[in-house]
Amino acid sequence: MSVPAWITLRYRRWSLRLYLRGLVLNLVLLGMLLASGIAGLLQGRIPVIPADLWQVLTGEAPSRAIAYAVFDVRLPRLLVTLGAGAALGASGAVFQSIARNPLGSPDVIGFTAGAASGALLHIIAFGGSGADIVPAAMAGALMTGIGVYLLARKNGRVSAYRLVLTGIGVGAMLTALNALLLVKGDLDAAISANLWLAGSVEGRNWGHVRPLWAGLAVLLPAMLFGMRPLGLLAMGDDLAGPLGVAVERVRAGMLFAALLLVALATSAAGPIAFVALAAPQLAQRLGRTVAQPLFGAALMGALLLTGADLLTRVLPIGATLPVGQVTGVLGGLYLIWLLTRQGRMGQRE
Amino acid sequence: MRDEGKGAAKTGAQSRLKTQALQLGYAGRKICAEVSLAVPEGRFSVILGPNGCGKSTLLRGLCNLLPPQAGQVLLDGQVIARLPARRLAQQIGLLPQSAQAPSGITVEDLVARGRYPYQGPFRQWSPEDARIVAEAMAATGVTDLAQTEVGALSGGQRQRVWIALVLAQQTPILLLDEPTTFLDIAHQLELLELLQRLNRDQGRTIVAVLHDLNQACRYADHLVVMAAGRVVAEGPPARLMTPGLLRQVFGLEAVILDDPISHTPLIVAR
Repeated sequence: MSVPAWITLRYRRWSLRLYLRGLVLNLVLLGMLLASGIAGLLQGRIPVIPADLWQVLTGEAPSRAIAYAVFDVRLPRLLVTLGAGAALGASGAVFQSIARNPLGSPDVIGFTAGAASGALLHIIAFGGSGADIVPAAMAGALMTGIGVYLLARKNGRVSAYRLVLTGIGVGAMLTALNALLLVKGDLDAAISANLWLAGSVEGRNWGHVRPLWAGLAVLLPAMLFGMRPLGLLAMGDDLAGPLGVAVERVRAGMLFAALLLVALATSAAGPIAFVALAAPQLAQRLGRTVAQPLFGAALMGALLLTGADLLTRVLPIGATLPVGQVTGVLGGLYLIWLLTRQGRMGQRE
Repeated sequence: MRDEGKGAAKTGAQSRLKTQALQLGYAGRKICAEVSLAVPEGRFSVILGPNGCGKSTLLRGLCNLLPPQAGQVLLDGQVIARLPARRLAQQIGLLPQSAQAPSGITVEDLVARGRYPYQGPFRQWSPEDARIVAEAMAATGVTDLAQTEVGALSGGQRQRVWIALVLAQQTPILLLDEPTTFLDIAHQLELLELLQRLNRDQGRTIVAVLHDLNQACRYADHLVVMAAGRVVAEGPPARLMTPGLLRQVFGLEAVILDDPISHTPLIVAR
């Protein structure tokens, strides 16, 4: 009882109020991320020891092979994994807060399917490949998001309920469209499309890293401003509005920013399941926060995805197991464990 | 039957919040029409009327939660739809019927959310915020519950916590939509006593939607009676409550007696 729940940092008129338990969780997550990041750089076919790593990062590589392995193969892969995980986690936190329901995450309400539709159309219908999948997936996710938002609007406002239901409906249609595209396309295109659909961070280069991290650097701080009013929306529009929250502007702005994050992550790493669903839930429960924490969810998402990527490389299944499949299993197991634990705690009350 | 603003004039009260030919509704559906109202300053006003007559809609219009279809709402002579949301939120507070507490939130953290109109991204918590939240909890008698989760409270306690939230908002004008619903009779009276104290001790202007006619007569200084989206009568309870009005508005045959405790009108159905 002696440890306060909040700490306030004050300087003249300015003040920040921080939730202590959430802060500690974020620091722990950062530490674990650092450890798994280093492990990711060391692990691989060409052996690299920690001393080599330091030398590569300071610009004095012991050999060209090691420099290539670390700087051109493993570092971009790590950064794509971290960035995609963080983007999915943060966007999940926003979507779930707006939907007031864990089922409101972007992979459930059709945005990931929309990104996949964009990519598949590009690969199969227009014979595209490789790096220019990125804008196609972005366009697919954005068009889906805007479509769902407009369909869910009624009387100038979007209710959480309508958003989830409309999203699930649109998502189902897009999934059907994706399956149709795969069947209709020629075999080579369908195979390369399937590889992308599995969600993988294999063979990512700096061209994938830059747009993802640029987007994160702009969007995450901007979204942090929106998290306080978004927390008030959880008490109902009728309470938040008279408290001075521009209800629909906050909701639309945050939805759009979260949508951009999903689009960025999906175009860089393919449609990755469960991170956006599980990361905010895990961060919220472990941190015992009332609202879904933006940074906590981002860090948790990054950790889930780097952890899953490490697993795909260490497990003796073969090197080509895509990370998207592992996150499905990992995130799902975690969530089931937490839900059953929560259920038992609920019964005791 | 119409008694425009005479009640306010008689008691010498000014009005900061007024509506002019206000029309409210949703997507082409008209719910309130031609409402011209002057909320008496520093008084406890109660809006009465049968179900679906537009009481809640009017309350939502008074704080610009629902923008007018026609006419306007004025605060100190300024159109509230054009006021910045935060400035309006420092003047008018609303406790809606539908407020939901996020799961796991403590009483103190919920009440602290009432300080939002005074805070900013880099002004998240001032010593004044802490003091006002403590005062709001003390005024509503929930100080001892500060660290309790809102979900674990009884209905009466929870309603006092919501009132503490709108008190922490420190608005001179307070709108409450059916604050006594779902409470048992003892807690209903306790809540109305609390509102009366806030009105008398802190000088806050209160407008509440209530259903119980006798409670309205006992606690209100000023009654606003609505039917089918229009204000049909307003004034102090003692002058306003007549068998004719009750028949016209509620379709109720009743006699009006003198309440032996408060000496306000006591309505007894035949």
